[in-house]
Amino acid sequence: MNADQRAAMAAPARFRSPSIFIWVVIISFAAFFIQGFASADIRSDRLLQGLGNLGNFFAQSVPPDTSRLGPIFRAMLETLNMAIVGVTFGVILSVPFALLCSSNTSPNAVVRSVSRMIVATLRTIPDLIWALIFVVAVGLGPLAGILAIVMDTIGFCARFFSERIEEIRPGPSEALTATGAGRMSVIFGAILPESMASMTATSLYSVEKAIRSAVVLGLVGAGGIGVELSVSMRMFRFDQALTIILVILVVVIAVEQISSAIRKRVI
Amino acid sequence: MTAIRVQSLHKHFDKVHVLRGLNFEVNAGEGVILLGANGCGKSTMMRCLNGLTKANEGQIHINGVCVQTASRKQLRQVRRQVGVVFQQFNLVNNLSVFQNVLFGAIGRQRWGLMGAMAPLANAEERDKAMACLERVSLADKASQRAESLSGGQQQRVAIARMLMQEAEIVLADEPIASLDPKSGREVMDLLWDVVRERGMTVICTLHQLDVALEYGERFLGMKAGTIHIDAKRDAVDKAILTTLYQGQVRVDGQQTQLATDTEVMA
Repeated sequence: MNADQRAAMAAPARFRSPSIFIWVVIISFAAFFIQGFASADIRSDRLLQGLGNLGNFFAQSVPPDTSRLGPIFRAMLETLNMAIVGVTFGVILSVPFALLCSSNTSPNAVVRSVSRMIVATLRTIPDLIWALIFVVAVGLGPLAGILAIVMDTIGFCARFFSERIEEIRPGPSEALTATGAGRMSVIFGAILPESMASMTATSLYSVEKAIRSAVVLGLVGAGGIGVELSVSMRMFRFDQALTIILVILVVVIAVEQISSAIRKRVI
Repeated sequence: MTAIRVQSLHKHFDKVHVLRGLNFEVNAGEGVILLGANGCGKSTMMRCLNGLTKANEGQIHINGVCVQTASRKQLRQVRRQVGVVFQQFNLVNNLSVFQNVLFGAIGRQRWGLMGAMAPLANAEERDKAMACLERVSLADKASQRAESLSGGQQQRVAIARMLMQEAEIVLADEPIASLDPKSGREVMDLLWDVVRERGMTVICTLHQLDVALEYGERFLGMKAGTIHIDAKRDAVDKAILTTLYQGQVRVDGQQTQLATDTEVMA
C-alpha cells in the first residue's frame, strides 16, 4: 500500500467546524433568547410574590364550590358537543382536501398547490383567531366554536391524511388500475382503505385536540365551559373556578383514555 | 390470432435507456416464459404492455388495439382483458379476501367500484367471486383480512382476482419470487392450470431456470433491453438460458455481478 492510498483511507476528522448556516442559526437563536429573557423582566422578588399570590388563589379555591354543578355539567356537555360535531365535519371535509393535496391522487399540479395553500392557511391561523372571526360572523355561542374547530381540524387532518396517502404502497392501486378501474374506483377501493388505520388514529387525535381547544374557545365567547370559567375567574370566585378546572381535567383525561383505547384496537 | 404484438419498443427513464427496440409477437393461447437478469428491463416491458408505464417509441397492440394511442376509455378496455399477477401480490391489506377478489370485477361494472363492493355487488358477481376463491382452494378464508394470509395464499387470492376479471391475457411478473420454493411451486402449478383451463395467453417472468423449463412452451430471453432469445421449448436448454445471465451489462451501464450458481440453479 503506498502513501496515497493510505491517505485516502484516513478516518474522517474528529470534529467538523459548523457551516456558516449553522453559525447563523446559533447566533440568532442566542440573540432572541437573551433579548426575550431580559425583556420579560424576570426577578426573584416577582417570582416570590407570584408564589404568594398562587398560594392565595389555592387558599380561596379550596374547598371547591359544587353549588353550580348543574350548569357546569351542561356547559361541559356543550363543549363536548362542539368538539364532536366540529371534528366530524372537519374530518369529512378533510378527506377531499387530502385527496386534492396528494401528489398521487390530485388531478393536476395547479389544483394540488391551490388546495395545499388553502389547507396551510387553515392550519396557520390559530383556533382562537378562527373563533374570534366566527363570533363576529355568527354571533356568540357554540356555532362559532364549532366552525372554528372545523377549520382547525381541516388544517390538521387534511395535512396528515395527505401525507399518509402519499406514502402508501403503490401496489394495490396499480393492481386495481390494471383491472381497468377508473380513478375514483382506485381511490375508494385501494387508496382510502390502505390509509384508513392511520386516518382513524389521526381523527381520534384531533378529537382530543378539539376538546382542549373547545375549552379555550369559550374564553372568547364561542360557547361551552370556557365561558363559565372566564366568568368565575373575573368574579374572583376561585372556588367555582377550581370545580370547573377539575371537571375539565376529568373529561379531557377520560376522552384521551377512550381515544387511545380505540386507537390500540384499530392499529 | 396475435394477442400481443410489440414493435421496436423503446423506453428511457431520464438518461437510462431501458428498452432498446423490442420486437415480438405472442399468439392467443400461448404460454411464454420471459427470462433475464435483474435490471434487463423485464418488468418495465410488462408494465408497458398494459399502459401502466408509457413507452417512448414503438408500438404495442393488445388484441389489435394500440396501447399508446388508446384513449383513456379504450385503455381501460384493454386493461380489462389483461390480468396481472404481481410479485408482491398487491392485495388491499386491510380488506377481506372476498372483497379483494371482487375487485376483479371493477372494470366490467357500469358504476365501477359501486358494483364491486362486497355489500353492494349483485348476487351473480358475489357467486362468481366465491367460485374463483374455490378454484384457488381458499373459499374458507373469504372473510379474513388479506394481510392475515401467508405469502403463498395471498398470491392465490391475487390469482382468484385475476380469474374474477375474466381476462384473456395474463401478465405474471415474477409471481413466485417472494415465495419459498414449495409454495412457489404450488402457486406456479395453480397459475398454469387455470391459465390452461381457460385457454388464456400468458407471459410470465421467472428467475428459476428449472421452474421455467418445466412450464414454458416458448421462451423469451431479454438482455440489456433487447430480445436475446426467442425459442420454443425443444430448442432451448439450461446452457442456452444461462447465457442470459453471463457477462451481463445492466441497461444503466453498470456491470452486474455474474449470476451465482445458486441463482441459476435454484
